[in-house]
Amino acid sequence: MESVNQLQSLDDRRVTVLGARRSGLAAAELLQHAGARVFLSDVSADALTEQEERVLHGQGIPFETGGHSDRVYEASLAIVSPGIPASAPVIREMESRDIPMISEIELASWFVEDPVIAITGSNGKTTTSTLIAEFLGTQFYTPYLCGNIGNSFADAVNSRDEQAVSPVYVVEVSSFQLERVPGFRPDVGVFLNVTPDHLDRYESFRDYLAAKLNITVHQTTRDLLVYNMDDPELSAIETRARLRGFSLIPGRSQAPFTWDGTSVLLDQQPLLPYAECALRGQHNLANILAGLNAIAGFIPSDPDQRQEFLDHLLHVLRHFSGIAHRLEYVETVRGVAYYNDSKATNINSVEYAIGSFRNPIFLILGGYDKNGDFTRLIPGIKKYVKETLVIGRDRFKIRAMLEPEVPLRLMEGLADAIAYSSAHAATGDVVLLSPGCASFDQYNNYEERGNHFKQLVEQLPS
Amino acid sequence: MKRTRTPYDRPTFILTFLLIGFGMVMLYSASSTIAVDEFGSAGYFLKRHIVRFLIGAVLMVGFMRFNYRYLEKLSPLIYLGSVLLLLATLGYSWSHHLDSPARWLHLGLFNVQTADVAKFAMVVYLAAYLAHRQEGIRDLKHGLLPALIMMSICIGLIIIQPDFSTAFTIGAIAFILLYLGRAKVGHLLAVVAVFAVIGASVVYTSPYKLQRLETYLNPGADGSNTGYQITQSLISLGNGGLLGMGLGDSYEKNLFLPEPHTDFIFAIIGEELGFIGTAGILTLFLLLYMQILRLARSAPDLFGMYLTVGLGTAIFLYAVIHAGVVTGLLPTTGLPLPFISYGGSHLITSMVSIGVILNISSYRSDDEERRAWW
Repeated sequence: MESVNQLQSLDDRRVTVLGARRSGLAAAELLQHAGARVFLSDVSADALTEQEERVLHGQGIPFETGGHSDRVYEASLAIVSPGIPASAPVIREMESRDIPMISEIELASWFVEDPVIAITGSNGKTTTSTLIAEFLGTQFYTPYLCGNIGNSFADAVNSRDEQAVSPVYVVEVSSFQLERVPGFRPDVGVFLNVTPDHLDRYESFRDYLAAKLNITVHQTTRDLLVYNMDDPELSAIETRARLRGFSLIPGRSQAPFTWDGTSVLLDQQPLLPYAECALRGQHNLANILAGLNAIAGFIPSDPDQRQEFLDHLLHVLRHFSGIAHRLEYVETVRGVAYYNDSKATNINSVEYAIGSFRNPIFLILGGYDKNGDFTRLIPGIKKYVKETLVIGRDRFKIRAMLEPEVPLRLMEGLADAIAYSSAHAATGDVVLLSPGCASFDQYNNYEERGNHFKQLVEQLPS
Repeated sequence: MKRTRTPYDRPTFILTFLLIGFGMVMLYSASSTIAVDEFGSAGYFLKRHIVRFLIGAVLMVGFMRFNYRYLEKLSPLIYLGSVLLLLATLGYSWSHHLDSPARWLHLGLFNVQTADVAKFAMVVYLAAYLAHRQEGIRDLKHGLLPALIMMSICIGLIIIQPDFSTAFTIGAIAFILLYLGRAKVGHLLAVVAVFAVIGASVVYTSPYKLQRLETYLNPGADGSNTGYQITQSLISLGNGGLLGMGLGDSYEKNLFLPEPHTDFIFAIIGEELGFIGTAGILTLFLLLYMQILRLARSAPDLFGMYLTVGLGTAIFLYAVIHAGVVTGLLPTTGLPLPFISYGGSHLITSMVSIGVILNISSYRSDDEERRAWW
């Protein structure tokens, strides 16, 4: 196979982009700008909106939807969406034809000279990534928050402002986005934690960990890896990068930002008591320490600027309370992790949410249906979901769309769904409220629904 | 992890051989008179130097091809081996009731100056320790202290020999590495203070060291041993002036200046080639050191980086101290000029060091210019 350097010469190279949704479109645009001859292909017939099709036409990027034709193999490089499983026929065929395949993360990183902070882990990625972007949001830096959250990395690269002051890419990366990355090398990698219960989705836990470890595989002594010392799987991490461990056990970590049991410290001096932090919970404290240690090298050295930056950090810590209701980790009760995604009021969000876990999911759907096409969820549910629980006013309408492909259970409301899930979920499972509906049938807004979910989870007996 | 190899770093290779080649010419010139005087043959020292160079060259090529990452795994054994060698040196000396310093281990065919081996071992051990502990070194009890204890054992055994200057040099290299490994500056300063107190008491309890120090402050007052040495050395440099008396035309090497081929070879270079020659040789050392530091920046891992810096600093520090002694800027002490002075152990360990550095250079990455965001 060609080296990464050789792959990077894109001019006039024929490149296929497999998977149009989210990252695929932006990847195609990046490639087009770099002079490659791009072809975009997606199995799903409705992968692109009319607006998106018009944009592609306007840019002269050929595409096809509703299946992969043989044209996809007329390429010497393929960008593969993380949603496509390794067992898919198109991937097998690419392999047999020796067409190198890379991820959109890898591709986008080729176009970036500015520092990249990449965040991965089983839980807390979104919170930590957002926190890091908030920390950097000063006159000194222009953070671009991208990756798993909202914009793809390629999107961020496409839409960057050439005049921006010291851009920093803050990229949230899931384990599947870290597959097919032959050269991805973040300046700062953050590895939050890894939950060892993915065995039924991955061939082995080692495989899962190996994918995650791709965050540091290409790092060298110039780079930094921030990791969780308290996670037994991460304590013996092998890397060529500088290692910086954070810990919730006072005195254990020698990082710039530490924890003494009551306050966050900077260089052993109290910075802020935990009581004043807006983010609550042990897991969030770990996220805070991870985020602060990731940006420690970004603190300006000039005393005045340093003080200004530190003041900004304090302001963020006092006011940033997390991204509530958006794939929000609530708690793990008897080995089952509960996630509140109450903000997912449309089908796209649910599709995204169920693709975010590799653990078996107990999915709680339903509420006030806004005429969503629930049939689009069928492949995802078949692949990732163990049990589907449908609640709320429109549960019968939703059942009509999903059955008989998807067996499901109808329930009155959240209380029943949580009671059922907690009784039937096994260790390592995930209970996910991602309704795909508005909340107006039973609540005033999605926040109220999410808070109710969290309240019910907190009441579960441990 | 697969890593592509790049060619060995050429400037390092060339600079090393320039120094060695230049050294052979100067060694022959500086040693010929005493060689005739002591052994009846002008080429006596040169021949032996060339044999050692050949041994060094074989070992250097060996280490160029030997993946340095095995050194990381072997580092505890290398350390242990060097401590055993130091103990054997002391044991040999004591069991034979030798009056001279216990610096050499006599191995039949040749003698090994074990402190040179210990210096190499200490750098390897510390590089591996720092690469492994990373920010843990900022912890006094569990990070810095174990490193200091291992250092103290090695350095202590060298002080007993006694070889105060080598002990000092190893200590200095170790501190540079600890600083680079991001040990807390406060901790390091405290340790330096402790070492300074210990060092001062060693000097004041050891008559020959105190005398050297007094001589250093006022060389003219001591017309006999050390004062004589440094006075002659300064006369050599004075004779040389800007352009020197010409290659082979040193006056002082004719049994006036003691040790012209080892501890004071720099003075003979100054006498024969003048300021131009000494400045030239220091420039070569400086260029070599800068090149080695550049290689350290692009080392593929932390162990490689620390090892490159440590081994490179050892060579450069010896050169600087040697030149400092000869010019009277530093107290008189017997440190060789790397690659140039007569002395097999030092030549061979220096060449092995370059071999290791070149091996590391063959794995270098291209991010010399990349800014680190630690």
